[in-house]
Amino acid sequence: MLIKLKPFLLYMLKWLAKRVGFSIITIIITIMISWALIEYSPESPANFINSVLPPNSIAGKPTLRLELEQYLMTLKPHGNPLIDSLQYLWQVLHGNLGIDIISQVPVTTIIAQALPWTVFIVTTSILISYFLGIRLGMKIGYKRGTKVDSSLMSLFTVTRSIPVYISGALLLFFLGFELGWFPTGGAFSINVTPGFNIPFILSVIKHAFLPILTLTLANLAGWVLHMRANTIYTLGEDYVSFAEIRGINSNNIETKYVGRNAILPLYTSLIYTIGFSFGGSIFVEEIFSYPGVGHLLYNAIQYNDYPLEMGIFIILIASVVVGILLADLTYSLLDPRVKVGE
Amino acid sequence: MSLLEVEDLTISYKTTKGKFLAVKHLSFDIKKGEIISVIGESGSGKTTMAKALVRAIKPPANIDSGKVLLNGNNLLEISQNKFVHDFLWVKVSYVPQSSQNSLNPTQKIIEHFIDTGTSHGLRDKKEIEDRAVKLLQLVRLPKSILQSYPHQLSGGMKQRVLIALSLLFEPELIIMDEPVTALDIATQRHILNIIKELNEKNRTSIIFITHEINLAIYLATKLLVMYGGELMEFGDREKIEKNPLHPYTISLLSSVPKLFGDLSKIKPVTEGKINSKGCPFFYRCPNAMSICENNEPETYTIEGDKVRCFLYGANKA
Repeated sequence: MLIKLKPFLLYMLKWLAKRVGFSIITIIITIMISWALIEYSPESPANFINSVLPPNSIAGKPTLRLELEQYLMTLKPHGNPLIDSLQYLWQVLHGNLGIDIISQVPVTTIIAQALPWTVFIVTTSILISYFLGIRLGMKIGYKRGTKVDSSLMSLFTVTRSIPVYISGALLLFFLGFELGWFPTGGAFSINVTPGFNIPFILSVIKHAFLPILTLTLANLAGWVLHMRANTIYTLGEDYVSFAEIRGINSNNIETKYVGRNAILPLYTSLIYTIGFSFGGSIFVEEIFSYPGVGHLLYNAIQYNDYPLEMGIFIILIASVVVGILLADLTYSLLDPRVKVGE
Repeated sequence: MSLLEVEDLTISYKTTKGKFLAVKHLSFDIKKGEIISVIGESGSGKTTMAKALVRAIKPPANIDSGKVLLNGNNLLEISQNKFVHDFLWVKVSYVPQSSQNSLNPTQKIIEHFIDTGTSHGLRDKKEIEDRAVKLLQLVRLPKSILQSYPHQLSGGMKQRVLIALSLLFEPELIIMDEPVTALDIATQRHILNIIKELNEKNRTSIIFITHEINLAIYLATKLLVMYGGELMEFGDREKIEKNPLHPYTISLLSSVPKLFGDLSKIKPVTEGKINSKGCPFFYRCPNAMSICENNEPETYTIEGDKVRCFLYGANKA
C-alpha cells in the first residue's frame, strides 16, 4: 500500500505545485498590467484636487500642484512601465500598498477596515440565494410544464432583469425612508460600542439587512433558473428513469440521482462568485452608504486615487484566482469522474 | 400454468396529431424457465411493451386496455405500494436498453445495489453487499468493482452490472431490453452465455428483446415476432426456425446469410411503411391479398403456433 501510495502522493504534490505556481504567476502578471495601465493613463489625481480646492487656496500656495505632481512622479521613478511595475510588485510583496493620495492614510489600513463589511454582506447574500435558489430551482424543475412552473419562470425572469440600483433604491425608499424599519446608511449605529456585545451585533444585522436583501434578490433568480434547467436536463437522463423503474423511493431519487448531478455545474459558479464578491458590490454599497470595498472603489475611481484603486484590484485579482484554484481542487470531491491531476 | 400472461395489451401515445397506438391487442404468455425472444424492428412496440410489464409507462404514453397477470395477479391493477414491495424486483426485474447511461455517475456500484435493496424491503446493508458479491461472481466480475464508479467500467462490464443488479432478489422473471445492442460481438456472446447459464441454473424466465434475429434465435426457447405494435407470430423457436409461417418471419429468417449454403436465397427484408387499417405488414408483404388492406387478421393457431395472417385463415380470399 505504502509503495503504491508514494508515487501517487508525489504526483499529487507535483500537480498541486504546478497549479499553485500558475495561480501565483497569473496574479503577478495581472497586477503588473493593471498597475502600468492605471499609472500611465493620462488622468491624474492632481487634476481632481485642483478642481475641488477653492481658488484662493491654490492662489495662496502656487506650488501645490507642482508638489503633487512631483509626488506622483515618485510612484513611477524609472519612467518604464515594466521596471516601475516590478518595483511596485516588490513593495506589494512587502505588504506596502502605498499611501492613499486623498486621505494620506496607508492603503492597507483603509482596505482592512472596509473588507470585512463587504465580505459579510456579499458572502451572506450569495450563500442565502445559492441554497434557496437550488431548492427552489429543483422544485420548479420537477413541476416542469405546469402553470406553477411557467408563472414562477416569468416572475424570476423579470426579477433577474431588474438591476440592483433600482431594486436597492426602491427598498431603501420604502423600507428605509417611508416605513423607517431599517436604517438608511452605515454599517452600525453610532450609539453602540463596536465589539462583541449584543447591541452592536443587532445594530450590524439591522444595517446589513437591506443590502443583503437587495443582493439576495438580485442573485436568487439566476440560481433558480440555472438549477431549474439543470434539474430538467437531469430528469431526462437514463439513470433517473432507470432508478424510477427500479422503484427507488422518490426522496432518494431527488437527492442522490437528480440533485447530486444537477448541482455539479453550479458548484463551480458558486466558488467563482464568492471570489468576485471580494471586490464588493459598488451599486449596493453606494445606495446604502455601506462602508465596504465597493464604496471605496467608487470613490477611488472618482478621484483617480491610483494607490487605493490598485489595492482593491489586488484583493479582487487574488480572490478570483484563489477561488478558481479552490474550485478546481475541490470539484473532484463532488464529481467522481473528475480526478485531481487529470 | 403460465408464469406471466399478457392479455389484449394496448398502449397508446398521445401526440399532437392524435393517438398513436404503439402496442395493439398483444397477447402472449411465458412459462417458468422459458426464454422468449421478442423480435421486431425499431418502432414495433417492443420497449413500450416491456415497460408496461414493470409499470413504467408514463405520460404521454398510456395503457388503454389489457391485463398483465403474474402468477394470477394483475400487475396493472394492484396498488403502487404493493407492486413495489411484493413484485417489482422481487418477482420481476428489468435490464434497461441504454446500459451505458443507466448507472448514476456520482454513485459507486455498491450504492446502486443498496438503493435497490432497501427500496424493496431488504434493510441489512451487509446482506445486500454479500448478495452483490455473489451476483458479480455469477456475471464474472471481480468484487472490487463494487467500489468503482460507473465511468471506470467498460460497456460490457456496465451491462453485466445491470444484469447482476436485476438478480438481487432472484426474481422469477427478468425483462431484458436489448441488453447487448451496443456491445461488440465477443462481449455479446459472453453476456448471452451468462444469460443462458442463469436461465438453466435458476430456471429464471427471461423476456429478451432484440432487433437482431441471430441473437433472438441463439437464446430463445420461444419467439415472439412483432410488427407495427402487433403480434405477427408466436411459438416455439425450433419450429419457427424450421418452418416460419408469417411472411414477415419468413423474410426475417431468409435475410440472414449462413456460413454454408446458397447465397442466392438470401433476401433483404423489403422496406415500406406500416399499414394502419388492416394488416400492418400489408405494404411490404410479398403475399399480400386484397383482404389484407382493410381487414385486421385474427390470431390463428397452427400446430400450437400463433400466427396473425389471412394466409392461414379459413376465410382466406
